[in-house]
Amino acid sequence: MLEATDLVKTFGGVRAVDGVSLRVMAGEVVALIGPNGAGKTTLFNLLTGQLMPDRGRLAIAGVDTTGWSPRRLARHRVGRGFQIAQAFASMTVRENLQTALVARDRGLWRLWRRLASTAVADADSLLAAVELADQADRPAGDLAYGDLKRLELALALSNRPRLLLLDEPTAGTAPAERRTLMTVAVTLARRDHVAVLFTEHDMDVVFAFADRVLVLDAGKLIAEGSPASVRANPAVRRAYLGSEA
Amino acid sequence: MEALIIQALTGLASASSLFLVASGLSLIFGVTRIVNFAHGSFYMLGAYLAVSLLALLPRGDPMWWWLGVLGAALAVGVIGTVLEMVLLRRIYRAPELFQLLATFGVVLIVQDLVLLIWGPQDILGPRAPGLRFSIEILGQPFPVYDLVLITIGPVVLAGLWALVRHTRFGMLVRAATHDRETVAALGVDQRLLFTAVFALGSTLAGLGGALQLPREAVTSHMDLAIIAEVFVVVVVGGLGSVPGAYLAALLIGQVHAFGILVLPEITLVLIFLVMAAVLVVRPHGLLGRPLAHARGGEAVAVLRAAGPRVRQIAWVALTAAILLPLAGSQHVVTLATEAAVFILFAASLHLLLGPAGLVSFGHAGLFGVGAYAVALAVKHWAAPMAVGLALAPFAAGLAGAAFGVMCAHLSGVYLAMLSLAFAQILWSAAFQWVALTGGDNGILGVRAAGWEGGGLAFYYLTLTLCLGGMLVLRRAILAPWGYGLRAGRDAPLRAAALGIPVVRLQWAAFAIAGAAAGMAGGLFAYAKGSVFPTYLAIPKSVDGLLMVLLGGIHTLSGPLVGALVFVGLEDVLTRATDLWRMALGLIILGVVLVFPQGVVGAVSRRTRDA
Repeated sequence: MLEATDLVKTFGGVRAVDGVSLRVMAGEVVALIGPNGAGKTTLFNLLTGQLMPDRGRLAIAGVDTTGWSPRRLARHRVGRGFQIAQAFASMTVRENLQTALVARDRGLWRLWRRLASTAVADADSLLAAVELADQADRPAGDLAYGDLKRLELALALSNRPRLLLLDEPTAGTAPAERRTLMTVAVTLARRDHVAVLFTEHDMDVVFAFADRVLVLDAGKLIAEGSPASVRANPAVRRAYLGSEA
Repeated sequence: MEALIIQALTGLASASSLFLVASGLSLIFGVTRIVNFAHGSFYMLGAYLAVSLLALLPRGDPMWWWLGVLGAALAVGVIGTVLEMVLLRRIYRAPELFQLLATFGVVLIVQDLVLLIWGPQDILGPRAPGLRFSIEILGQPFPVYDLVLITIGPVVLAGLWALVRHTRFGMLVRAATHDRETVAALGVDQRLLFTAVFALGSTLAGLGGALQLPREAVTSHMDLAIIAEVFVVVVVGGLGSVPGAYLAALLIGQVHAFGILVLPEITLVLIFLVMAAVLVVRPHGLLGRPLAHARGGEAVAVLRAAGPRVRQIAWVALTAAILLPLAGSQHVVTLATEAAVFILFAASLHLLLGPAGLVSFGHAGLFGVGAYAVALAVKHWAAPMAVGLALAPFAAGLAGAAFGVMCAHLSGVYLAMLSLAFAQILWSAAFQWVALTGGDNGILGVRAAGWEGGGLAFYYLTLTLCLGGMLVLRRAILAPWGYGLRAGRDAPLRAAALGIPVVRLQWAAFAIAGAAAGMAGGLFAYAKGSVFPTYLAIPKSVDGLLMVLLGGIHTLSGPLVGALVFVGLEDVLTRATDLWRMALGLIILGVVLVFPQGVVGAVSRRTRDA
């Protein structure tokens, strides 16, 4: 579903991402881990169109998407979650999703029909899926952070993504909340056969939910494989202990 | 060839004074993140104070002349320091729009003070003794004073550079420009730093104004004239960058000098085009860097359609408006017509400020385009009213769209500054292009038989079109389009990741707001029977901002209430005092300091129903 080839991004002489190639298949849940400063965020920004790669190619669902803007990627049914959850604070939770759904259906250029009566059923079913139905009429700006993360997930799922890119989906939430959040995300993704790539700091989450783990260090992929094999990999241990301990 | 070189030198001399003012503005912005609209007032005060000071000092001696100029600059520095300590200190954490508006309140107050102290007539200051002659350069005469000015620019640049690079103060300035939160966390006394930077910046502006004495007459228009150009300079150079300001001042000075040679009427338009071209290639200016997002989260209320209680009030108000002429007073009908016009004007500005999150300081430009479209159509083609009222929104919508293409992708203060410059350019076109617009005398006789301004028929027509227009805007805000706009305002990255075409929606907002403002302007032209450059002048834009703020940005009924309050207030003020600008300025400061949520916002916070 996602195929990145030899991605390179340099910031002032530092190769933040140094020749990374990776693939994520449809229906597969892949975690991207690495010590702080490994280049995870830069790689993620390359994949989501926030940054342009200096070199390398990106293909999603068989289409060359190198250099596409985030908006164009969204139209190509790529969903994304932000490390710091972003929702539309001046709207209610339901309106957030209605807006996202209308955008997906290219209905934003309607100037007369009221949004209030648009896409209500779809919005509510997405809210139910992320277990947020009881908050539907609250302003998104008033949500507790865990609930905001759920809303963020619902927004990322709103364009029926075939590829879901989640940047630290559980960051900033309580440990108990993390598992429920990831369970919801992974269950929905598996149901619809979505390819998922997520970065994560919490190793418990990584090993519980990922089918496969990619390890990034100093801009290069240093290991790849099942959670168990990565956990046992001496290079990975060195990378983590060497730079963080 | 010789003439071209002389022209280039003149451009360099203008660049120096532009740079003095612009560098101060840029320094202040870099550290405090406030775009100080009153910076032009400092410039003007520098010139006026120099005139007064030089009148007290012995004449004819160069030393006293230069001391007088320096003294005026320092006096302006003192005024700036006091202003910072009394006013700006209280609003560093306020929303951007309020900061801009507060400094504009100062502009209004200073304008009236200047008129009060120095009178309305232009003043010619004494020229620099010993530098009154011209020398020959390539066989052409060139004023020596301009040569001195040409050298002052680089000297000040070098001085500022040394100050910023090699002193502890400069290190703090650089650090604060880069990341003021961290500097604060390190225990630096921010208050002292901010005050010092403000003192330095205002002194530079005062110096720029005082040094203009030998080159031009001192007038009470100097403030807005210079601030528009300075905004262009700092935007082109990059906000917060002093060397950038110098480069940009050189560029704009040259465009100015050669524009006048080619076609004086379009000089300002040319400057705007140069700026647009620079911003397309370098969106943060020549030497500018992207601004760190240093803004505390602004409380954003959820917009709601009117509840039953508000609907009831609305019906009562509408009935009152329809029955109003029964009161029999001509003045009331005239006032109500004007109020209706301004309700639409405020509603169109609210669309940009509120849902779209686009801070425009030049909305009167679009209002004025509508008014002039009507006036020109009536004057040249004797167009009937239906044509005039179709033309006004069309022309202003086009102008809005053109502005949107250039500026919709810009954010916050950049947009505020450019919209102000845009309106100032339209104003100078109306003011200077006498053959077309009649200049200061305006265009008279904008009438249509049977629909005279002040008449009943025209009142009901205006009421219908303006309230109808407002309801259409309201409807669009509550439609998917309006939600798309708000999405782009609330969380731009999230909006893009959902495939929302934020810039295009904003661009449409400019066009639609332009059309509505143009309709208001067209009706205003018929109501008054004439148009004048003041219709698109910056104070008119600020009237609009004040209406929206009085009503509250994050409410749908805000612009309506705000416009009514404003028109009533203005009517009372202009009848009560000649110093209405000062009164308005004080009201602005009061609103900003007391009601940061606007009047309707303040009421609805208490009642939770608006």
